[in-house]
Amino acid sequence: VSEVLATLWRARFVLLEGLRVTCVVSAGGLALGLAIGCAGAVAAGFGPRWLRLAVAGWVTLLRGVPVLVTLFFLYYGVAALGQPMSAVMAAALALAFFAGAQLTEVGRGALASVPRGIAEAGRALGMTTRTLILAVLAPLAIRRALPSTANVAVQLVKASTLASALGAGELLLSSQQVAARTLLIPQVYVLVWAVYVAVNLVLAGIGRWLERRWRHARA
Amino acid sequence: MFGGYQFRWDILWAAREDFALAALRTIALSLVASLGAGLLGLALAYAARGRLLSRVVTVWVDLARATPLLVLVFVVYLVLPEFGIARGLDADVTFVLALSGIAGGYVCEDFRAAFASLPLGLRDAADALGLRIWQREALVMLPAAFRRALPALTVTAIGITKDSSIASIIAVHELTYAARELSTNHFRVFEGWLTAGVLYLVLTGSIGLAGRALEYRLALPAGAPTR
Repeated sequence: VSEVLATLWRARFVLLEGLRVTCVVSAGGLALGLAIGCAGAVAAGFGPRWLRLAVAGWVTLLRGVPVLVTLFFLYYGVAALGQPMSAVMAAALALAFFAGAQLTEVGRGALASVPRGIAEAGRALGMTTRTLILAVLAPLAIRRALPSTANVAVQLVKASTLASALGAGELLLSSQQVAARTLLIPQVYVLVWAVYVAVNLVLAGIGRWLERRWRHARA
Repeated sequence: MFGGYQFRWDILWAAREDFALAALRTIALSLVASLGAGLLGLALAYAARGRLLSRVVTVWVDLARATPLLVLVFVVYLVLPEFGIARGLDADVTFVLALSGIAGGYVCEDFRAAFASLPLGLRDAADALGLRIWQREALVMLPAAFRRALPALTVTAIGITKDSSIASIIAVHELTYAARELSTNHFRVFEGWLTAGVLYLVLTGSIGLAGRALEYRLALPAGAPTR
């Protein structure tokens, strides 16, 4: 047993580097996805009709197609247009598009959950749409949206494993390499499984905490 | 948008049989995994009523939500045989087992929420009619719960269909695999992925519509005493 642990310990840098790439891909996807989601939610709630339709189509498209297909499409598609993209980049972008679509739905629901009277009160005070959204609606809606955002973060960490299929050196791929080199196949896979579960349980815990914390703030 | 890319739909047409078979494989994987997840989820939802078993179910559900499918696939493929379980399974079977295991956790939650939302009097009414336990569950509680779980189950089924794409990574010849083959072997990138994307949209869209239609069919008439 101690020999197994010693071997795994020697592989720690490879595994930690994999974990770092997993975090970069997931966090990058989430950050860009949040930007897309905010823009999409505001466009879906306040945009002109054609924009709302475009957003709805984009969301349906990205939620109806597997993330893996989006990922391959981006990776091979961009390369076919003559400008190859790294697997890590493609993975972060694919996750961002997926998260953007999910978060657009989340944000749209959160905005819709703010009582109509609040928006009307803002209008009555003479607020522009911009001020109304930024100063009044967004602070209320964000509290509503945060728990679901934590769920999306969990989905992204799970989906980041798909990048291993393109050779991006994230946690799953680096553990496959460690498993192949050390022949400690079951041990390595159980370890990496535990790491993913731990990361995701923490993220899910943050989501539950946010939900509890802001339950009273629900309008 | 596709500046300079020459579309060659004839190459896709030449591979149409491959694509059709691959799409059927996707449908078959999704159906079998949905069936497995449904049975497992229902069993877990019932097991959750036992005092001791409910702990196991909670752990299963939490793990299912936190585990990446691809990691579980490798665990089933490479780790379980070390303990003498699931030795020498095909890639398809391995994948369906892993997917059912995870999706079963989601189905369990769908059913648990539905059971919890049933009015308390329903069970008492079934008991008062003198139904045996299995009659009460099979004829009264389960149909009522199924009606309420249906929207959530539809979402889970769509998720299963999308997740079936991950089977391509362990070389199961389904839709994503076929599209990837076209783009790596023939360099026909957009033809393959656009076709696969449209087929997935059709599949997930049909499941959504079918779920909606079933909901409509099973809906109680307005004003019925038990919603």
